[in-house]
This record gives sequence, C-alpha cells and structure tokens, in this order.
Amino acid sequence: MKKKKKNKLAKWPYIFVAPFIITYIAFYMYPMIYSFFISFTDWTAVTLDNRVFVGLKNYIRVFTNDPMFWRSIWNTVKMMIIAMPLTIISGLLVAVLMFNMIKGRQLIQTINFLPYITMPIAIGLIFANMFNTNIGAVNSILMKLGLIDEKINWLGDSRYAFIVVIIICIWKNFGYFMVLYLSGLSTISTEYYDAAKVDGATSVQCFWKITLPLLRPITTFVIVQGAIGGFQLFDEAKTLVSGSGSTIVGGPGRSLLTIVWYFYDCSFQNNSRYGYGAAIAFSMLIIIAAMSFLNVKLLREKE
Amino acid sequence: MKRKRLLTAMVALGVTAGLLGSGIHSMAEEEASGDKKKIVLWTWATGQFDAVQDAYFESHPDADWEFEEVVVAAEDYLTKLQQGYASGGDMPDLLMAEMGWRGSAFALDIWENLEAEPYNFDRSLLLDSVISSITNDEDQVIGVENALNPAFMMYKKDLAREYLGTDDRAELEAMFQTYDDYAEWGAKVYEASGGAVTLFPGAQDISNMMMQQKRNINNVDENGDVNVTEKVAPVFETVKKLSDAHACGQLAQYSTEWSNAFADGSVIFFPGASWSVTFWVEPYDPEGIDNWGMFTPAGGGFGWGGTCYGIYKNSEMKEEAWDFISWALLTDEGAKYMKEGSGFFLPVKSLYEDPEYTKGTRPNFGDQEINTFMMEEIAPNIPEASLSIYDNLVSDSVNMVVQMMAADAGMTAESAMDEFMMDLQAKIPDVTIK
Amino acid sequence: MKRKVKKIPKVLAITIVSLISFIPFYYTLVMSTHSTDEIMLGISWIPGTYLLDNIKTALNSTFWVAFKNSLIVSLLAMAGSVSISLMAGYGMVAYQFRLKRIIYNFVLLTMMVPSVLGVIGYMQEMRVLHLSGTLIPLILIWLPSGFGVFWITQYLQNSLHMELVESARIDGCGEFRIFLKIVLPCIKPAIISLCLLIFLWSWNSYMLPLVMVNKAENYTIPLYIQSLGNEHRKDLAAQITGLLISIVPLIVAFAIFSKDFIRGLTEGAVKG
Repeated sequence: MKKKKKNKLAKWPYIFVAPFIITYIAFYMYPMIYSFFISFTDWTAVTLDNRVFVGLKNYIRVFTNDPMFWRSIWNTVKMMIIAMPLTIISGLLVAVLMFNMIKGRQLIQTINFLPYITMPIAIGLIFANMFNTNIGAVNSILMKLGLIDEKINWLGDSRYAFIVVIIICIWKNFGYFMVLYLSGLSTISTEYYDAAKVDGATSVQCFWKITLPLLRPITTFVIVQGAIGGFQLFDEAKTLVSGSGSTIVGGPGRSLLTIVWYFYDCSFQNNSRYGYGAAIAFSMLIIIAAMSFLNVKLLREKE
Repeated sequence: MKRKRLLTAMVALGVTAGLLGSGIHSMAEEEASGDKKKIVLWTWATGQFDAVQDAYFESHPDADWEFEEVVVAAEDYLTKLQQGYASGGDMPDLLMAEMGWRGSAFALDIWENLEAEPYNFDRSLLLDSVISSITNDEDQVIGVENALNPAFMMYKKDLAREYLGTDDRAELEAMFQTYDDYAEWGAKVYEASGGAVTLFPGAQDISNMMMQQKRNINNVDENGDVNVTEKVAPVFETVKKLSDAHACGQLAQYSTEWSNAFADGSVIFFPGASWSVTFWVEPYDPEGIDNWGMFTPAGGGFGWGGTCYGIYKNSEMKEEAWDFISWALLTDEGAKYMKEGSGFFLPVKSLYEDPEYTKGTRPNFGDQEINTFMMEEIAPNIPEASLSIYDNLVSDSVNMVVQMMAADAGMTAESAMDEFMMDLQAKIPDVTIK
Repeated sequence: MKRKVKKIPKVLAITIVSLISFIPFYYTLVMSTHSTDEIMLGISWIPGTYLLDNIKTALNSTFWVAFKNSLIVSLLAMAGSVSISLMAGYGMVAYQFRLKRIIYNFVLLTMMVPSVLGVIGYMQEMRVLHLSGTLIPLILIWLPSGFGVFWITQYLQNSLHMELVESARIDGCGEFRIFLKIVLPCIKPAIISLCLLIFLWSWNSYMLPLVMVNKAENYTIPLYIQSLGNEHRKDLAAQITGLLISIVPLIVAFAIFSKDFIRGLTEGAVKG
C-alpha cells in the first residue's frame, strides 16, 4: 500500500520543480553557454555576420594585458571593503540602540528602509544633485558650517567622487542591515543577559560575549547579500557620473569604473566587442567563484 | 474565506498575465500596421528640426507618413545603434551620426549606399570639404551632412566691456592672437572680478576647441597605428597654462550649470559653432539681446560637430526617408527652413551662388552679420574632418585627463600625457599608440 | 526621570541617523517645488511654490507610457516568478526524491551567479525568438528566481506541517489542490514579501532595458529617468520632479506593505 502511494507521488516533485528548471535553462543557462562560446570568438557589432574563433586570446588579454579590467576589479573590491564594514557596524549599532524602543519603531524602520528600495539610478541622480559643486546642498552646508572655505569639486575629482560612491553604498544598505539585525536581536533569549548580569557583566561585555556571537548568522547573511550586491554595482555609479554632466566612462580618473560598468562598456559601448565583453564577464566569474565558494560554505553552515 | 481570496487573486493574476502577454504582442503589431506609416527618427535634439519637418509636410500634402521621434541622448546614440542592430531590435529608419562618433557608426553595416539606385545621389552637389566625412571605407556616400558647422569664439558684450575694455569684434580678435593671450587676460579677469568671472567656462571647452582645430589629422596613421600624441600634447600644455592662470572655470561642458552660465554673467567667452546659437545661446539667454558677438579665435576658425542623415538598410520606408532627406538637405527650399528654423547652413554648392543666402542676423548678436561671418570668414578655412573608429575613445580619454587636470592643480602637462597614454592604451591594447 | 535622561543620547543618535536616511528624499522633494531659476541660485530648504507647475510639465505622455510599461513588466514578472518559486519551493520541501539534494545545491549556485553573465547570449536568444522589439524579454528574465526558490524553501521548512498535507491526501485531495488550498495560505507573509521583492527588482532593473529597449513606446521608468535630461533639456526642476514622481509609487507601495515586508524579509534571514 505504502509503496504504491510513493509511486503515485513520484512524478509530483518533478512537476513542481520543472517550471523553475525549464525557465532557468531557457533564460539563464542557455544564454550563459552561448556567452561562454562567444567569449572564445572575436565578434563585434561591426562584424556581426562574421564570428571568428580565436581560442583563448580574449582570456589571455584579460588576464595579462588589460589594466582596465584589473582596475575595475580593484575599484569594486575597494568599494566593498570600505563600505561594507562601515554599513555593518552602523547598522548593528543602531539596531542595538533601537532594540528596546517600542514607540516609533515601525516608523524608524520604514524611514531607514526607504533608501534600500529606491531605484538605484534615481539614487545616482539624487546624489549628483546633492553633491553638485555649485548648487548642491552638501557644499552649501559645509560652507555655512565653516568646515570648508572653498567649494569641493565632489564629482570632478576622483578622490571625492569615490567617497560619494562609498556614501551612497552605506546610505543605501544601512537601513536594510539594521532591520535584519533588529530581527536577529529579537531571537536572542533574555535569559542569557539575565545570567550574565548575575555574574556581574557590564553591558559592553554582554554585547561582545553574547550579542555579537549570537548574531553571527545575520552577519553572514548580510555579508553575502552585500557581496552579491557589491559586485553588481553599476547603476548608481553610472548615473552619478552622467548626473554631473559628464560622459566619461568610469567617472573622474575612472575611479568609479566598476567591473559591471567595464563589462557594459566593452560589450555595448566601446565598439560593441561582444566576444571580449563575454570574456570579461567570465573572467569576473572566475574571480567571484572563489568568493561564491565561500558563500555556499557559509550558507551551509547556517542550515 | 481568506484562502478563497488568495486563490482568486492567484487565478486573477494568472489570467491577467496571459491577457497582458498576448496584449503586448498584439500591441506591437498594431503599432506597425497603424493607419499612418511612420518614419522613426532617433534624436537627441528634439524640436531642433521642427521647422523643416513641418515645412516638408506642408509642401508635400500627399506624404502619407509621419515622424516618430525617439529621444536618445547623444552619448547613448552609438550604443543604441549597435545594440538595436545586433539584437534585431528596433532601428530608426532615418539614421543620424554625429561627428564625434561617426567613424564607429559608419563602420556598422547598417547604411544604404546613397549613390546607388534608387537614390542616385550626386556627390558633386555638395562642397568638396564635407565629402570625406560622409563616405565610408569603400568611398560610398552613406550620409548627407545637414550643415556646415563653422565654429568660432562667442563672447558676451557686457562682460567684455567691463573686463576686457572693449566689445568690438576686431579689437578682441587682435587682443587674442594666441593661447598665451587667453592665459594673460584670463588671469586679469579672474583678479579683477575676485574669481566671480572667468574667461572660459571650463577646461573642457579649451581642449575640445583645440582638438577640433586639428580634426583634419586622422587619429589613425597609414600604418594603422593610433597617432595622437602630437595632436594631444599641446592641448594638455595649454589647458595647464590656462588653468594655472584661472582662465577656466570649473564647469563641465554641457552640464546644467554650464548651460546656465550662458545667462548668469560668470563667463565671458564660449567657444561655439553655428548650432550653438540656436541650441544654447538663444534658449539659455533669451534676454541677452544684442549682448553677444563672435570672432575668429586664436588658432583659427574651426569646424565643430556636424550630423549627417542616412537611411537604414533594412528600413521599409527608404523611399519616403530619401524623399525627406533630399528635400530638406539638398533643395533651396529646405535650405531656407534649415537656416531660419535651425540656424543650419547646408553644404550645398549652388546655395552659395546667391549672396543673399549667407546674409542674416540673430537678435542675440545684435546687428553683427553673423551669417556672413560664419560662412565667409570661418567656413572656407574649416579643417576637413577625418574619421576613425577610435575617435570617441580618444576624446573620452582626453576629456577624462582634462577633468583630472581641472580637479588637481598640481598635475603637470607631462603627467597628463602619461595618464592619457596609459588610459588609451588600456582601451586598445592591441593597437600601437604614438 | 533618570531613565529618561539616560535615553536622550540614544534617541538623539537614532534621530540623526534617520534624518540622514531621509534628507536626500526631502531635498529632492524641495527641489521639485522650486523653479529652475531658483534651484540655480542655490539650495533652499524651504519648499517653494512651483510644485504643481513642475508636475504639470513632468507628467507628460512619456511618463505615463513608461509607467504603464513598468507596471506591466513588473506585475507579470512578479506573478510568474512568484508562482514558479512557490511551486519549486513546495516541490523541494514536501517530497523526498532522488535529485532533491542536487537541485537544492543548484538553486544555491544560481544565486551566486552574477546576472550579467548571460546578457549577451540572452540578447541574441531574444533576437532569434523575434522578441527583441517587445517588452517580453524584460519579463522572461525574472521568471526563474534562485533567490525566490531558496526563500520559499526556507520558509516552508519551518512552517509547513506535513501532517496537514498527509491528511489531505488521505481525504483524496489532488497534489495540486493541496498546494493551492492548504499550503499557500500557510505562507502568506512569505508570498507577500517575495512579491514585493521581485516587483521591486524588476521595477528598478536598469541594464537589461538599457540594452534591449530601443523605442519610446517600450520605455520603462529607469529609461524614462535616464531620458529626463533630454526630455526637459532646459528645465532642471522638471527633471527633478520627473525623478521624484518615478520613485514615489514604489515608496507608497512599500509604506503600505512595510510591516509585512520587513517581517517577511527578516523571518527569511533569521530562519535561513
């Protein structure tokens, strides 16, 4: 009896999973394999009907003779290394501060969450307005406060522009991280704290010894999310630059050239070199693969 | 109850999904078979050619089609052309190509040969100087230039009187014979105004002007190498000199504040071309009547920009598109509307037999015969444009380095040159750069 | 009293942080109430009187076309993607089958793969399918969502009682009926937050429309925002207003669902 029932059910999991698998193969897997094939060819919009197989040439160039590629990787990694810890720390701190708050909690959460849901290209433009050298709010506030005597050329100077992108990254993700930490805090049983208090622990000690270790799953999740998002950074940076009236690829000194932007430029702008663009995408995958490997491991640990 | 609602919602969503899905399909087809045929035109300058378009339909009452304009920013235009073509997506029937990236656009196999049937365009109709910029590698004419684009120096009279002591065109021309003169006067203006007024809006205006003054030198030499250092080095040196003298402000060319500077009295000189009058001066400084003038800059008059019209090879509106192009850009009548409505002078030889054609003033420039000035003093000496597929890469690198120089006062012309070479080489590692 | 004083720095810190989060929106809002000339004179923090004029200029047909397209694309992407994710998630949790482990790892893997990887191939695929001139490519790309499947799987593992399913089977309920009538209602919060997330992502998506869409009637909101500079060339105030009205609908939607959204999101993270 039982066996028969099992047989009857045997096809069902596949029926349920099939739409996902089929659409994934159709709209992700196939295009990826196609792109992978393209990455071994010399193929541009100019030579659309004439695809030449060039073997590993594109990859050799990416890894040995393309300073722009490495620069874009470095820019992206630098943005993540700087922005992520700051976002995590501030998100965690405010979450801890807020945890016992009852009044206005929902409102505060909602307000701080707004940046996360706002359209990235709009964020780029909003910040381009705010950091505009002549009519922007930031310079005028800094001047009024007497912090600077001369207007800062925020979006024309590579160092400052980089800072603006970091600010955007923090601003955008802060609320999201905070909300995640808040929910993490709510899962920690108060018994731990009570016990620690009995032992005479200070609240700072409690934070380090109890709160932080118990929030580890959240921190892992946040880092994974941040890394996935960080490597895809493109919209904000591109519109930040175009919003400042510039058409320069990668912004001032190419300091905002992220890896996805470079991919976009090679594949679609700079004479549409699809073969080379595809090679860049897969080279990026190779670099991310190491990280993804780590991610999968971390996620498994969490289970 | 709740379950039921959720179920209903799911079903409703599914049904809508199906309906909308088919809706999108039929919508797309409907558009194509609408009552009036359409010539699709991508443009970054909406409204700029309204006058000539309206006039065309007025004089061609039996034309059973209309324009469908799609706004595409100039900097995205080439990308969109490449993408539309490569993805089999929508393409315009009437193609446009701006001088800055025309080399790359012409390299795409999307253009009709206008000298072949049924167009039978005769290149001898046009001034010889524009032919090099409308032909492809096989020496076929694939676009018709919509204007000569004489470029010069524009100045604001009130500020010139106040800071330079004169608003007379000839005197200014005599005062500014070399780029050193700009530096000298730039410093004086900066000092006298306490920094509130600068001679030029920004460093990019200088670099662009200088690059255009040498646009006859192709970026690619006969060996296929990119040969630009000779052209670019003086640009960086000059930018450095003028920046040190505070002759340039900090405005990025074409940014909102840069546009705003046409009216706000913070800048005296604007390098500009014929189209600058209708595209920038008149809209941005509508009250500046008789407050503008133009003169021949140091380094000579030059050609700046320029857009040509061509026909997409897979278009279904080829004949209609050609009928419009040939009327608007090759006939006397079209020339009249291009001139009056858009301030554009067609590069058609026969027009210049009529001395009246090049006459004319615009209110912002008072009684200066600016058309005569542009067409008789500047236009004959414009360097012919020479195109390559690396043009937009070179100018992107120049712009980037000039922006760095503007931000970092300590950057020397040499380090700018190094930066430029590194940057350009990184973009085209398999090409030798000299 | 003492406790209240102690709370002041805390409240102050939270307020300042929230202000920083909100100021860019307020700033944009204020700019949209001024005329271009006023904006050019420098920043004012007090709203002006030009909001209605600016809205009138900005709310033109281009905006509505883009809005409609974005709505169609995002709703369909959401409906399709959430349905597919729900099915797959349920299939993964409710049954024991041979490939389960492999498929689960596959789902995890798909989450790590950067989406730009297949863009070039996708573009060519759509060309061959003759879908390039339509909105359909912008929808199809969202259908399979590794994140969605992962999300639902996590949620079901914690909240699906298999006894319920079993008893329904004994009652003779079909598998699909069980899924629709018994399982789905149990995980409503997860469905709502996944709906919002997919809607949000497709609404905000920029690169694919940028590459695929070539005609005004197919513009989506991000492309509309990008074209604002050309659309209102001389009118910075209208550009900013256009920007504002493009992001407001999503903010309102979020505000309405924020409680569910945040709860669903955090439950996923905490449980995951």
